[in-house]
Amino acid sequence: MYAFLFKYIIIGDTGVGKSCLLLQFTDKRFQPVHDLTIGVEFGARMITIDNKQIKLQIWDTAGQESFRSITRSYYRGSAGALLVYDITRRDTFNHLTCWLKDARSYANSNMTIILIGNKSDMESKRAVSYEEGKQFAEENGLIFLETSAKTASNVEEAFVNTAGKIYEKIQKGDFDINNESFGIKLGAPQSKQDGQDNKQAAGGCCK
Amino acid sequence: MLTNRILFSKENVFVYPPEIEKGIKGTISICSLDKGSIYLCWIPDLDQDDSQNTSQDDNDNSNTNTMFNKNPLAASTIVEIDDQNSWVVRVHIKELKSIKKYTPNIGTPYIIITSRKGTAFFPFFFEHGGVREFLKSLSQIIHLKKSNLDSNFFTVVDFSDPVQRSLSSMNLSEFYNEEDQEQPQPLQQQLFSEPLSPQQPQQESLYQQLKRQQKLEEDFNKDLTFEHDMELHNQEKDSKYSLLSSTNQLKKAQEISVSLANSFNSNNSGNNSTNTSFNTSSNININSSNSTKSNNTNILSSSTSVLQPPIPSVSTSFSKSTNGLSLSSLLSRSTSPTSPIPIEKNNTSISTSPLPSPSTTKYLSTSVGSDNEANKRDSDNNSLSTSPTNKRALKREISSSIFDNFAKVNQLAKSVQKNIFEEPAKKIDNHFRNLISGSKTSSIGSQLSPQNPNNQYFDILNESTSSLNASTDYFTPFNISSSNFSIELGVNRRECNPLSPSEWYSYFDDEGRICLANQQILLKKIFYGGIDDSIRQDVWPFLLGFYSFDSTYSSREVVKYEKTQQYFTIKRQWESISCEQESRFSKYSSRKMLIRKDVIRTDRLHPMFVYGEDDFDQNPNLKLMNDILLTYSFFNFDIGYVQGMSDLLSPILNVMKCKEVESFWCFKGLMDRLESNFHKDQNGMHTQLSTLSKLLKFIDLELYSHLEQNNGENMYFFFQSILICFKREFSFADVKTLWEILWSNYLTKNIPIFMCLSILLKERNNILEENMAFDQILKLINEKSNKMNLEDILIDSESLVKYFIVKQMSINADKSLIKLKESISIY
Repeated sequence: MYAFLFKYIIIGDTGVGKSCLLLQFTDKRFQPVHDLTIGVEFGARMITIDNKQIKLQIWDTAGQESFRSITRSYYRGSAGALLVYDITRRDTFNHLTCWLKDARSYANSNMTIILIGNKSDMESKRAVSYEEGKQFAEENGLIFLETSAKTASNVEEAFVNTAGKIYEKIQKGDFDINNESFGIKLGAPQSKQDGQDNKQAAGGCCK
Repeated sequence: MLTNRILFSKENVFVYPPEIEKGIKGTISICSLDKGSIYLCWIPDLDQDDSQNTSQDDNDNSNTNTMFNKNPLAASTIVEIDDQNSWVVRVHIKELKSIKKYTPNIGTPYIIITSRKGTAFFPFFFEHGGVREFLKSLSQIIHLKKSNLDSNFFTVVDFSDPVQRSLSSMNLSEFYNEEDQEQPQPLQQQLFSEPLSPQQPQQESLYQQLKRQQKLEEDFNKDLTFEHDMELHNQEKDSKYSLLSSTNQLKKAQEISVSLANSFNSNNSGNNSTNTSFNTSSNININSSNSTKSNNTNILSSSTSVLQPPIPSVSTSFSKSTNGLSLSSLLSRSTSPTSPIPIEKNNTSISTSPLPSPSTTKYLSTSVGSDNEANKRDSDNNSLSTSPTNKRALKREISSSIFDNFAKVNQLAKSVQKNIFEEPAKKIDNHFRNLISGSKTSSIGSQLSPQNPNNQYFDILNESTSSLNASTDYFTPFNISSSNFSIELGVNRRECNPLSPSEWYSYFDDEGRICLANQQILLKKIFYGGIDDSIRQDVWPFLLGFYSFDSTYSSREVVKYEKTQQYFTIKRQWESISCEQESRFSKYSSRKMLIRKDVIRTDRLHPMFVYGEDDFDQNPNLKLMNDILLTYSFFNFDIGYVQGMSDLLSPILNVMKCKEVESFWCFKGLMDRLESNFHKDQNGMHTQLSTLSKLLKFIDLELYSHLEQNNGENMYFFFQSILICFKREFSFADVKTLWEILWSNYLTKNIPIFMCLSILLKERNNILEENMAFDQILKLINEKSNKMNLEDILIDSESLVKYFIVKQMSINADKSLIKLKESISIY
């Protein structure tokens, strides 16, 4: 029962809080210690943009280098990416270039990327300034937000703003909606079954 | 009171128990104690040392003292505890079995001493040399025979008398000990445990000694019993052995031994004046060591004359078979057939580790008690009427009536042996056969009527292959509902019991090896039933390659020692990195931080690994996990640390009770199996997932095609399952069972692939009917975590393995499938 389905992928170094961001967004709760993510995990939530129900389907990936060959395969078919670093750990910021390179090489060129400096509640331990993050985002054409999965600050915004951006692109006609590799699916309001029967439904109500 | 005469003494001899890195300095000596018994002693240098070797410099006294109080060796058979609560190693030279000398080119020479019971002691390091002199001195007292295969290996020959030597193991002391104490049940014990140590006839006496020592650790009067041993030895040496010159008498001797057990019982029941209760071994000890000394001696002498002849041959005859076990059961007809088991357990646990826990001791004494009662009953039923004062009559009866019963004894022995060794496997096979022949829905089942499924099953399956292929649609896993399918071919493992302690210990030979045949039975047993939690700690090191199955009790001690050294050497490598160094060593620094971060995220809900906020060091188990992972990353620098490893380590820490060294090497063994999963290029993972994909295509083309259309043929939804062997898909307890099943390598090493397949096939209809896309499938599979029944999955997987084998592949089948098929062996 959604108008659109957007697929997201969350990437970034291990331990920056990817899974916590997802949990906060989907379950509205915070776990100080979260299970280590191996491979890929999955979350989903409905949001509303422009009075339209949009389902966000989010892939939460493992951060460690070793799993890169698996996580790369999830870039393809994602409409949005949350690139997360930890404001208290400089190296996670330093690795952003590398992540971005990966994302640009493996994702479709229209993927919307938001840069997220997480753990903004730990101001005392800050190692990366807001301005640095902002500057990096601007240089690379990314949306930027600092969030705290712990206090939920800006978490909702991070996911929703990204969706807004994607929605804008759809309005502008940047996507071929029929092509699922963009990470966008059109929902058919009639029934759940049809909604998930992607090709037919998508073809039918292409705008 | 210990000292009388020192025959040899060497200072600066160190032992290095794993807990004490610095080691303990002491003096090794051979001394003749006050009653003429000769002992090999090792005495730590101590202030309050009451021994003769107090003339040491006591530099690290404070250190050693605390250690001694912990008494790590105290429970060992041959270690005694004196009044000061320090300890010494004091071995009667008769108890020595072998000495292995190590003289490395660089480093300290050391020796490893093994007792007759199979216990090896901590290596003795001769920091200032002296191994040769020591051996020389020793060889002047006892006969040391150099091994033909290893010139550094010496076995102790009991007596110089060649006749006696030829009767390979005729040390009679255990019998004397028993009589000494008028304890009937030890004989039974001896029979029980004989198969474990057929060439170590003193074993039982050591058991008693162990008991004595444990009960009367402070009692130094124990010397007395040793002395008796000696005296009796000498007496017999002179008079009786000639009776046994013919090996034909072995059989008779065995019979006699049976009768002897009975006679002991009768003897006991009739002679309460000298023998206190069986169950109170402490009483016995006091008895034997104090006031009733002369009384005991008398009895000893008289019974000796009766009992001598059979004894040496008992040992010999047992040395070639496992009949002893069965005999023991026979002897305790009225007890449960498992009665020998507690003793074996004790035996093994003591032998493998010189530090048995107090609970072990308790266990021993209770089992002895029950055996005793059994014996009593036994003796009541026995037609042999024996009075303690009529030994000669007993002797005559032994030689007449009991001899007739020998055939029966033997038969029973065989059958019990069969039960013990063959029953588990047979049960499985029978079960399997029933399942197969009982299944009507499958034509495989109806074609199979294997009389001997153990070996013929595979052939029959192969024969049936052609007909299977002729009509592929009558039997596929998916046109029958998955639950039906699971009963068709897989063994119903729900009815298979886990490997029990008694079974486990029954697989060892006298030296502590598990022979190839037993290994196969054992692994099959583990595959179908898993392992009883109480012995996991003992079995896992074998499954994970820390110990090899053909290692002996003593070689395992060597392995343990060497691995301990090796572990701490590697550990010191990272421990020695200073903060300053670390600040310029980003690779190490980030690895260290990552491990620390992941350790607290591992099994954080398990009580063992609970992490309170920011108090990493408050839970020692987390620190231990951290240290082992960091050490492993130095041990295997190329792989370093990869996420998922901590998941692999936590069950090992749990099973190995957080013993650092063992846990590390078990973890290393597991990593050896799974290393390719953690390669940077993930080749191991890709290979397995791609094999799974090919397998699905081969088994269920329709489902495969659906996945292919949805970009799911990469099988990434099983990434986590494969990487860490379903660690997160099942409960902690189930994971332990699953892993040992996988490690048994029974059937195939690729069970995880078939498990994935069976999970997928269970959802087949859902996936197809709902036309699920990749992400939905991933979600579906992820959500099945901790909701699956392990046994169901395993039964299905086994069915799939067997189905896969009979389904004929085309000639140009995919290589990975051919490889997969090759990995399967149906026993």
